[in-house]
Amino acid sequence: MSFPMKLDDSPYSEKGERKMGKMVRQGDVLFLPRDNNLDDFEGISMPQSGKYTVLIGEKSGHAHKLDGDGVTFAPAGERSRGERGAIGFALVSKPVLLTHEEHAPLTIEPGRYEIRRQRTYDPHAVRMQRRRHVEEVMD
Amino acid sequence: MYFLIGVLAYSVLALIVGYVMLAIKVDGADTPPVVAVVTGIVWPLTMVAGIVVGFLVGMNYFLMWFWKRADEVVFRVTQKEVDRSDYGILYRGRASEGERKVLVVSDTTGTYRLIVDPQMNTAHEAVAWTFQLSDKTYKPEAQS
Repeated sequence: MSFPMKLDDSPYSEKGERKMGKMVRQGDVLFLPRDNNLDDFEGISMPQSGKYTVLIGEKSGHAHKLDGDGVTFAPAGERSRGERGAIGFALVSKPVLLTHEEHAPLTIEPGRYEIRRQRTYDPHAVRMQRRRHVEEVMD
Repeated sequence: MYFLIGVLAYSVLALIVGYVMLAIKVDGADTPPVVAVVTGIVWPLTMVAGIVVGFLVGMNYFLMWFWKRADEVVFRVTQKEVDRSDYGILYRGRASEGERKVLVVSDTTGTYRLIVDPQMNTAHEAVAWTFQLSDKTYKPEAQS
């Protein structure tokens, strides 16, 4: 199985219209509907059924899990991870439940999603980045 | 705490090395010169080096921890509300890097604080930034 999928569980309706997913946020994880840019989906195939762990919390150890069939998931590559904070991509063919120990469960509607993780601003890292940039310019 | 862990770890390592050296010395009828050198010079030096390295490593972590806490205290003393909405409360305050902005969000897991880009002006813009989106794009239809 590879993207874009051309099966009965395609995210496209019979009329050829794309079934758009809904933007859903559960704590520090965001399911962002994606439509046109399929580059990130190419060459990946990892059909999953049952429960799939999207992200495990570093401190609490609690996990965001997709509970249900019809999910194709692929972890994000270095570029997507670095540029946009993406942790993975999911193709959802039928409604699945996103669960977590501390958050209420949410339904993920069929569609293509980019899954992003919340970030924070790191003043120290920014300072180091600026310093490196200045050093490069001076060299 | 990091300081103590550092000193302890390196001291234990030095003690183990010393113990092994002593064991070799006791087992032998005559002390070979190499063992005498090891027990007399290498062990004490390892011990001293362990404590010094442990101190430096521990001190480094301690200073990082202290700097972070000091920044938080300064920020909380100087913080002023910038914006308040359903997305949270955005505060502006002082810190070691200059102006710092912090978004305070309450959800089912409790209240938490996120340092955001100082260029953010609204809570909506700030929470969108945490997901690398603009406030026009960030509109979740469901959240928990």
